[in-house]
Formats: sequence, C-alpha cells, structure tokens
Amino acid sequence: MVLVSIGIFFVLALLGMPLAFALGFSALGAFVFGDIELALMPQSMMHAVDSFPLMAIPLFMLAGEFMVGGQIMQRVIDFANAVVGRVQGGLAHVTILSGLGLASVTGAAVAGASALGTTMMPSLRKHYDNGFGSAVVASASNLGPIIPPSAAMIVYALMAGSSVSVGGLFMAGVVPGIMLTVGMMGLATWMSYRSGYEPTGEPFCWRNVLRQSRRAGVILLMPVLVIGGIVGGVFTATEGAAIAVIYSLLVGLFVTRKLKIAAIPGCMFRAAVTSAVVGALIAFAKPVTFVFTLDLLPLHLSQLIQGFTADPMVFLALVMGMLLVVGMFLESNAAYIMLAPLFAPIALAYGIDPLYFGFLFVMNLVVGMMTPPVGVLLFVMCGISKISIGELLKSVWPFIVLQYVVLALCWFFPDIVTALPRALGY
Amino acid sequence: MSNRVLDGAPAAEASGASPLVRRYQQLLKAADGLSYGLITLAMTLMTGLVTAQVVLRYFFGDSLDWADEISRLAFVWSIFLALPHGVKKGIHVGIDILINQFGAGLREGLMRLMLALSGALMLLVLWQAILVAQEAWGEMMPTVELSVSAFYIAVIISMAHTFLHLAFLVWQGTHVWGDE
Repeated sequence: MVLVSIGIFFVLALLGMPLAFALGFSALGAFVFGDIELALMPQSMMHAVDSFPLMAIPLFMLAGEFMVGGQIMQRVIDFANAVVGRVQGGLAHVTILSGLGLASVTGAAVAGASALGTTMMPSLRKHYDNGFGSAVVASASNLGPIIPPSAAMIVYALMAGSSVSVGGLFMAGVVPGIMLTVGMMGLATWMSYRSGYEPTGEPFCWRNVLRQSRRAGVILLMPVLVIGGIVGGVFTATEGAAIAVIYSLLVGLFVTRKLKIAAIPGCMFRAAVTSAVVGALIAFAKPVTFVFTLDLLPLHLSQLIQGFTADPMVFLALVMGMLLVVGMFLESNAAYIMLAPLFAPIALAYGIDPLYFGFLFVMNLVVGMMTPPVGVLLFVMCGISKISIGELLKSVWPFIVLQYVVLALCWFFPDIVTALPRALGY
Repeated sequence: MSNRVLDGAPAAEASGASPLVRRYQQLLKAADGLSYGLITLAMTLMTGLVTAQVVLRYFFGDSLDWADEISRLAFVWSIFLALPHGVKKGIHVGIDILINQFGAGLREGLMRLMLALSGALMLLVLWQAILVAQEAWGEMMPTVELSVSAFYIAVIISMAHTFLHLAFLVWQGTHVWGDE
C-alpha cells in the first residue's frame, strides 16, 4: 500500500497537480489497493483539521492582516528608522527590524514577504538596487517561521505528536532568530558599504527615538504580551493568537485609526484562504499517514535506519541532508506534514532532544524556502519586485549562505537552540 | 510553484463568453459570495469564542462548556469553505518544474487534466462525506445539542464548491479568472 501511495503521489505531483490533491489521490490509491473503507477519507480529513492548536494559524494570519490593514507596521518602521536609519544601509536595517516585528505577530514567511514587500519595496527601490532591496525583504520575511510565533512550528508540533510542545519550539527559535537578525544587519551594512549606498535616514537623535518609541510602544508591547503569555502558561498558543487578533484590531481601530470596519471581512477572508492552503495539505495528508501507520511504515523505517547506524549524529546528518534536498523542491508545509510523523519518533528512539530535532527540522525547511530551484520566497519576491530570479539571486546568495551558517551552528552547538526553552522549564 | 492567478489573463466574461459560460460564472460568483459571508462569520465566531474563554477564565473564574467545540467547528468550516477560493486564485501549491519544460499548449492540457482528476477526487470525497454525515446524523456533540454531522457538512459544501471551480477551470482554461 505504501509503495502504491508514494508512487501515485510522485507521478501526480510531478505532473503539476496541486500537492494537496495529489496526496488525496495517493491515499485513494492505497485505500482501493488495500481494500479500506472509503468513508475513512472524509472522516480522517475532517479530524485532521478539527484541532484546537491548529486554529492558531489563521488567527496569527488575521492579526498580521489587521497590522497591515491598520497601517500598524508604519509605526514599527518609523521606530526602526529612528534607531538605525542613519547607519550604512539604514533602510535595509529598518526593513530587517520591521520584518522581525512582523515575524513576532504573523509567524509566516510568505505572508510576511507580501506585507513587507508591499510596504517597504517602494522606499527601498528609491535608494538601492532592486535586487538588493528584494533580497533584504525576502531574508527579513524568512524570520517569520523562526521567531515566535511560528505557523511552521505549530504544524510540526502537531505532526510530531506529544513529544514536543509548541511553546518550547517557539522558545527554541528565539536565539537563532536573533543571530539571524544580527547577521542579516551585518551583511546589509557590508553590502551597502561595498555598493556605496549613502545613509538614508535622518541623523540619530534621542528625542526622536523616544518620540517614535512612544508611538510604537503599544505595538511593540503586543508580541511581549502574546508570546510572554504563551510561554508563561497564561494561555495556549491558540488563545494567544486570538488575543493578538483582538489587540491588533483595537490598535488599528483606535490607536492608528487606519483600519476601517468595512475592511475587516476582507482581512478575515484573506487570512482564511491563506490558512486553507495549509489546511488542505493537512486534511488530504491525514489519510496518507493513516495508510503509512497501517502498513507500520514508521516502524519499518526506524528498523531500517537503526540497522544502518546506531549513531544519533549520523542519523541527524542523514535527516538534515534529506531535508536540505526536500526543502529545495517541496513546499515546506507539505514536508512537515509528510515527514515529521515519520522521523520525529525515530529521533526520539535515538535519544535526540525532541526540541533540538524539531527546531533543526523546521529551520532546514525554512532555509529551503529561500534556496533555488524552488525557493518559494524567491518567486514571491520576484512577483512583488518584478525582477528576474537571476537578478535576485545575485544579491540574495550571501543571505542564503548566512542562514545555512546559522543552521550549521545550531546543529553543532545544540545549546543555542535548547538553552532558553530548558531555562524556561520546557 | 504554481502561481496561475498572477498571470493576469482576461476573465471569461471579458472575452465574449457564451451565455452558458456567463451563467455558470454567475453561479460561481454567487456561491463565492455566500461562502465569503460564511467564512467571515466563522472567523468572527472562532476569534470571539477563544478570546471570551480567556477573559472569562481570568476575570470571572468561569468558562463556557461549549466554546471549545463550537470554536473548532467554526475553524473547520472556515478552512473547508476557504479551500475552493484557493483553487480559484490558484494558490494551492504544486511542483511545476517538470511541466514548465513543456510547450504552452501541452502544459495547459496537462494542467487541465490534473484539475479534472482533482475534480473527480472532490466528487468521490463529496459522496463519501454525504454517507458519513447521514450515518452520524443522530450522534450529538458532547457539549451542544447539535449533530456531529455539522462538521461533515463543511466538507460536503467545500467539495461541491471546489468541484464547481475545478470544472470551470477545466472547461474554460486555467487563466479564466485572470486578476479577479
């Protein structure tokens, strides 16, 4: 059954069928081949989506929609501009810090690229080469799934089972996220210096920084409140996401006063449709994972790999290598859904820390989103900036290398990932 | 990755489509409009209930027994109802490295074939979901006097609506919605 299922999936996926539907056919083939009741299809699809933790994804998306609709981002941008606008490559730094701010609300790279690209690209284009501006936006957007909250981590935690907590994974992303941010800012400075870009912002002035921090304070408080609440056990990730929605709605309506009541249904609709892309993958993948479980695939795979090596580091290297290749070709959510249920239990059997493994799993695929040939973020940025993939690659490759360097550091020094969640009791 | 909708091709009505095509398109637009309203309602309910639970728990030391179940129901509805809109916008991810190597005609033909097969899958899941919903009709949710079939109704509507969109794309071409 498993071979039939995998065969059907690869043939249909390579012929261009949307991955969610290719998964559905793959399950159908296995059901027919294994003489399994077809009624299990809608049942498992519905049960896959009927999940309280998964609800956090559309809610965080909706908070991001309200942030953009209420022009809340503009205050974050103004604040970042007051702090780092005058340094070499100032506008690039503003973009990276704004990406960090957006990441701490939406938790998704593609939605972040769309929001950040639309907001920042017009200014970036005025001062910098289009390729460099696009590279900075793409890289800053890729902080979305690393900095908490993260839709990718929610999906991974759900697929990996009870061995890993969403809150713990969120905290695992904090230190690598900061390392990435600092690294990106360093790269932006160096690239701006080499290209001879002039400083763009107004001269640094403490009074302006204080004024902008007062304006942005209410917004900067939101991630502290939401993430702090989740990590502190005050509420779950889903409840935190709902608080973020209400918070951003109130800020958009009453603080910035840019969010119009008439725009709210549109924000809700867009958040639902974006989430449905992940939802469809999860729904149609569930009958496939059911077939895998029925055929004891995780057990067979575990025996096969453990027969090959008893060394956890070799296993980790194999998985990392595989994810590197998978991430280059397959959409990351599809990869979490199909591969996390197979490899997370094996990692546990090898005695690998589930938070460490989970974070490396997620980050590997997140970096894959910026790696050619199928780096989805690169294509999104090409669409927003109207540039060719070649032009973008000329500027974006140092940022891609940086992300792989941080990934390698996290791999070889596990404390970077695990120290913070362990200190917080995860 | 597939990004069909961003190509900006003309919509069917702008290209002098037949009355039958225009009528089908009107039907789809009416279904989309109704679905848009239901998605908004489901998202509002979901956000409102989850927030209300936190407020009740921390400020009133109370909770609503049914809030968890109904918020999950609203979530299931919002996701399944939004699925066909993703098909219309062409945002469901796929691998197009191989088919991009083919000529435009062959690529379009192959994409239509894949969408037709997807449509058949929707019909099969629709049929099975109806059977499951019928069977579960008498079974009530633990906290509310509502049949558990309410969850499956979302699947039924989603599959029917998605099928209608897929059929239209197969019939009129994958660029039919253009920038809409």
